[in-house]
Amino acid sequence: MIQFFHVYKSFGVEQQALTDVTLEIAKGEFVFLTGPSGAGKSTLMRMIFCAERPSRGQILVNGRNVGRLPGAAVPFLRRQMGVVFQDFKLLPRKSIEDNVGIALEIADVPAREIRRRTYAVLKEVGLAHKLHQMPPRLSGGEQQRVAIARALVNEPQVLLADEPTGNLDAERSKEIMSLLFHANARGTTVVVATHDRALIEAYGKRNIHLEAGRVITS
Amino acid sequence: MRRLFYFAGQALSSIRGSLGISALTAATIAAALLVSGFYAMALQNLENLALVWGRTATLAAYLDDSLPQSEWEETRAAVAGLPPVAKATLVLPAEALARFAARGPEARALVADVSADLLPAAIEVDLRAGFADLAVVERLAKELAALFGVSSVDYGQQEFERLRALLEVLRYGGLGAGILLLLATAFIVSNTIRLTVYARKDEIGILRLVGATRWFVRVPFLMEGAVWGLAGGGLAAATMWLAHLSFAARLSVAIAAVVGGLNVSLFDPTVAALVLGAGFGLGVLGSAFAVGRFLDVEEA
Repeated sequence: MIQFFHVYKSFGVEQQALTDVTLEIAKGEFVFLTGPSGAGKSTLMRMIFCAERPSRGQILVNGRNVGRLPGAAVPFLRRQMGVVFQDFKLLPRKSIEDNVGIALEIADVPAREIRRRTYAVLKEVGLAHKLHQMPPRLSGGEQQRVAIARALVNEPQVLLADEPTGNLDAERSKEIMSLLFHANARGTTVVVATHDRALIEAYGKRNIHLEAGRVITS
Repeated sequence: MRRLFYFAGQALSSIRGSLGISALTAATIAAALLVSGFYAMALQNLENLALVWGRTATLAAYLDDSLPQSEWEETRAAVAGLPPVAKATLVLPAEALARFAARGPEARALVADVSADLLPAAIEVDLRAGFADLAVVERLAKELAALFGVSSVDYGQQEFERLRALLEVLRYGGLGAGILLLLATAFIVSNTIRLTVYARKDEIGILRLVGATRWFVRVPFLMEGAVWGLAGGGLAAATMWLAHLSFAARLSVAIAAVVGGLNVSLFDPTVAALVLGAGFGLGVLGSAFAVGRFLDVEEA
């Protein structure tokens, strides 16, 4: 599903973010991406959804070389993915329903279908009763569940989560991880970047460990 | 069509959500357009002034001293026969002297010992209404000067030249100034809009992350820009209309002593339509540039 072949990424002359990264994540797999801060986890994630381009090497996502994808094609690649961030990245002036539905609106899904699917996914994450509330009125855990609902509403092939529990307590983290596993159980490839060792040990999934931009174990 | 409604809904909701900033943007556009609008009206009023001047202009053709008095009437008739001339009146030297003396005691004292023979005879020319044009006055003056027996022609050349020079400066210099003004306006408007877009750059980033194309992000901003621009243009046109109602008549009266018959105008439907169109264009283009910058930043 996701393949990196000798990928390098540098920011300027001195800052080498990734060095000779080669890895493969199979379709339907659940993978933790771990490493200390600055190891290159976020850069690697951002390269999968084309927010960064590799300086050298090839990245294939579902068989497409995303490093060479023209700018105009990037939005269409992103519609096949769901992305979740530590800071939730919700639209503060839109309701929960609109925040989730925006992913479908962008894909030009009919209005009735948007309402149906938005309600269904919000029900799945336990927030159907907060459909019309605004994000700032929700707790951190709830906001992250909305972000996951937005990432899942398009039924993506790949779900990328960058430190999704970084701002949450243990109980809320467990809820979020449960939602991610649930998505994975339905066939979505899930990649979770984290530096939380407890999380990795608790679930015993494949762990790709990065240090100073290099893959140490995969 | 549904998408268009969606975009319009987004634009309106955004305007509602930031009424203060929207009002500021519209006011900036209005202020910038008001300067251009009043400039256009000033030019139009000066053009009208030239017309009025032409209409009220009186030409005087002075006859050569060597021309025998028996031929004065013949020359007057030749002048009267020219197409733009409504009336040609022969003014005898004695009559001219009497007119000058009638200006007041000082004038009377000045010409007390002057003999009428020293003054030339003149033919005063009134123009037909349809020929009330500065260019016609000039052409006629040349024709008169070329007539046999005419030594010189006076039609207030100095004032005409000044007015014409001013109009030339305003017309052609105004073209350059207009372009500069438009660029300055576009710059101010674009920067004001950029501030409003900057406040929403996170929103743009999020939309791009979930797969929005550049156009999906851009269109609601363009619609917002169009609303700001039309509101600003409308405000500028309305201000011009109010200024016209409040001051135009008073200005006309105030300058009547200098130039009679000029109706000062501070509003014109064509200028108002141009101001509205310019507002629309500035709003849309300003938004396009402002959003473009943030889209480029978000582009991987």
